[in-house]
Amino acid sequence: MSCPDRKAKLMDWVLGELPAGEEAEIRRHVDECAECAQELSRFQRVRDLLQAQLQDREMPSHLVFLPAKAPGPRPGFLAQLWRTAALAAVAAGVFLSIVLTGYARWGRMPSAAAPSSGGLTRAQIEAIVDQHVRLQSVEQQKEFEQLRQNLAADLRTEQARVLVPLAAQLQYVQSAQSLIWQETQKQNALVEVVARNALQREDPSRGRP
Amino acid sequence: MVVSFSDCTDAVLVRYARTGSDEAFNALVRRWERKIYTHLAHLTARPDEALDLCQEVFITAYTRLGQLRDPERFRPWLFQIAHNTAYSHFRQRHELGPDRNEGAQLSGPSTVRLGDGMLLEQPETKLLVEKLLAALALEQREAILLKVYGGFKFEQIAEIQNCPLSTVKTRVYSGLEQLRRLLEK
Repeated sequence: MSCPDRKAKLMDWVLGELPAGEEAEIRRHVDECAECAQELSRFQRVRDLLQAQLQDREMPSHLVFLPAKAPGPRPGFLAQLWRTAALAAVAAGVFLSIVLTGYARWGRMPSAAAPSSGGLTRAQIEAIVDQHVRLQSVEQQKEFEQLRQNLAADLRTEQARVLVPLAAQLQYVQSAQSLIWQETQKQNALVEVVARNALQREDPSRGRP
Repeated sequence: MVVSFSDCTDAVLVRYARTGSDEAFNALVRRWERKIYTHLAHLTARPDEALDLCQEVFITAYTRLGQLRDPERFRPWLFQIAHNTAYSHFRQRHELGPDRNEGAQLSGPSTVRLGDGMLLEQPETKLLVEKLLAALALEQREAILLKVYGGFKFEQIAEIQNCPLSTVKTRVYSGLEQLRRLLEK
């Protein structure tokens, strides 16, 4: 191999890419060839210059990826609350309209004892109102149940998000401890063998069955 | 003993991130953002654009993490994304071409020369190196950055640049030779 052909080998050496088996041969050649030694020195200087100057730069700002879903109330939480409030307001409106209708018709609050001619008795009005209120109550219960289920689902998701990595970390710790314990066992066994051998050397009769 | 994400290897963090852990992915970002940013800043020679590209690289990595076959190879995979992102950026700006930057001349004589007893701490030395790198062809510059700054093996660089091993060697050898000539002028 002529000196010009060795230039690639010199660069491989400088860049840590030369196979271990070839290093001794190129080193011997460089010791004997002044031209190649000078070439090697030049490439080393270029490499050193680059390595010294190509350092990590300060970033103007750091990157952070936010979780896709921020913890906290669901986006529909307020909407559900408003819907429940609106239903309650409608129920109250129905109740008031019935009461006011009765008042406008009879000029006074209907009496349970004295049924008015052609109108609703107080008992009937109360029954209608009771029915509305019961229906409304059932609706509200359904709403609250839905809300509770949504919140419980959110809580479970959040727990899983926090606990899964924690469980994985614990598993990692456990496996590390297991490895350490196995290593300790091996070391103990080794120490035992060494100690037994030493005792045997001191007293050949010991250790025999 | 408490194990934090910063103590985990890339492969472990990749596996966590794949289960949906944003904290694990953020740990990968914290670990590699400066390397990717610096690499892109040298590659583009425009630090102001490097941050945007860096962000693009990590967004791509986030969305394609499931496609990474071997989590142990996260680092070369990330640099491969950086390569693709930068080249896509150059294509959009019509800055890719066989003769781009090749043979570019340095403005003014170099004040730091090989053999003059280089003062590596001098600010002008840093500027000189940046100018020298910018004078190289893009592929040469990237190959040398991946080798000297990234510490990759030739085989890994071939994967990152998506080209044959012999091409990578030619790029690095000719790039180093050109840098040496420019420094000795």
